[in-house]
Amino acid sequence: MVQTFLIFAVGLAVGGLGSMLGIGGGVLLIPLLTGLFGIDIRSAIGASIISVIATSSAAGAVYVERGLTHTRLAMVLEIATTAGALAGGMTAVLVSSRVLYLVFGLVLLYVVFSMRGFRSYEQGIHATGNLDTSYRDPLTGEVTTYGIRHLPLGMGASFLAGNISGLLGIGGGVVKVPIMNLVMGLPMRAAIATSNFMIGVTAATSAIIYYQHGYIRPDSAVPTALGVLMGARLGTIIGGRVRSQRLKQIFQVVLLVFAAMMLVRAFHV
Amino acid sequence: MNWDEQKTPVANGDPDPATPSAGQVDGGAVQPDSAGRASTPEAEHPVPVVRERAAGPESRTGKQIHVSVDLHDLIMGMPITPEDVERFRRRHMLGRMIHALLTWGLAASTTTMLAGLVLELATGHRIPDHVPQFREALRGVLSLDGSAFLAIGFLLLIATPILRVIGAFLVFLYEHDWRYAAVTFAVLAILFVSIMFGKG
Repeated sequence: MVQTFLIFAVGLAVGGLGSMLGIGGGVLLIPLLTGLFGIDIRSAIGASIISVIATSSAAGAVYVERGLTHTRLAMVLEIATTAGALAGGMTAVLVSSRVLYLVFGLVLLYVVFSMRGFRSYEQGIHATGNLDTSYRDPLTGEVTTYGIRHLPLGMGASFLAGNISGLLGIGGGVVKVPIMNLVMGLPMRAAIATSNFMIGVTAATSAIIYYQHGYIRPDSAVPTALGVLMGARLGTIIGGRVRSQRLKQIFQVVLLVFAAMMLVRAFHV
Repeated sequence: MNWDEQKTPVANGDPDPATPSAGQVDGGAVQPDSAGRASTPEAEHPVPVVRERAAGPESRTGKQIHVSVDLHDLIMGMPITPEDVERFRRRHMLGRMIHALLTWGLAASTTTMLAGLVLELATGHRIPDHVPQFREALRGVLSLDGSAFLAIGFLLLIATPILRVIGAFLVFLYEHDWRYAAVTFAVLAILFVSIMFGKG
């Protein structure tokens, strides 16, 4: 009973922080669930993947409504992300927990690195004659038209993102979004919306595998998912996206600590 | 007929007479011709040209917001043809269907999970650490068993994005858009493998 509320509170905090910082909750959830509540990593992954589906559906509905999602491109790339998630999910239920801790630690290090931010590519965006579409910026009203470049490379990155998502129960946006923006030529907003859109069905693919193996446990997954959903909603109401550099730095330190925790578990005797 | 934008043939190389001025209005941000859009011969004739962004996509309420993406494709000073209207109507359908499925799927699953949580806590049970199989869960719902509600809630949540893919597949079939029907079918095939062979 108490634990249920504590897990709910953790989900609430993670959902709120995630929506303010623009990162998915999975990278925070899994270290917290394993570290604070002693939940084994596969059940933590199961709880996380459920939350990921929930937040992707909630945000996806909003993005589609605002016209930011490139639905057709998403459906093409989903072939790669779901195939990756299938392979990742199958691997995750087979390998030892140590391997999962190790890979998770390494992915966390990459997330810290990627949070330094990259110069998003917005200048040279134009129609290419391949899957061209356009959207209107909800704030400025400006219309951006863009097309897709390097689709095969995007498929490769999507497979990798799906693979990591299936293996570790995180969304995988941290892999896809930079590639979609820098290589495929999507504007940042469209890249985020489209990546988020794909995450739902990607996570569903591996969630099915986790469910069948009993790693989606109601006692952890239900309070987590409800907490994250509510936290994300509160986060958007309270703060929207926070640009504070200080918050980001604190956050990077926290993630580094988490990465260290995961790596220690991977190599602990 | 395929309504996909990148497949729309460019009817002729001549730029639409209405286009340059429209481009200036938009600060040159959009070049309808490079977007692969057909410039129609009818453009030579005086046809009604919508110059304003009349749809009011800024409004976040009401149905208008749904049309924003497609409508600004249409209103860059280009004459609106019946084909445009048809294309707009159909793309509109896909987006609306996706929005409805995601919203209702999420609402149904969270409601079911909450009901399960309340039932379990009200009957003094601990929240279970495993979910019943699907058939047991269906039977359990009838006897107001909390853990059955939790399982159904999970399954609804997992099904939500899958239903979205099935819905898109059906829309593409209806539109005779075979390429995208095949794309969504491939995703469904991978999901099927996950369902059938996920057990190991």
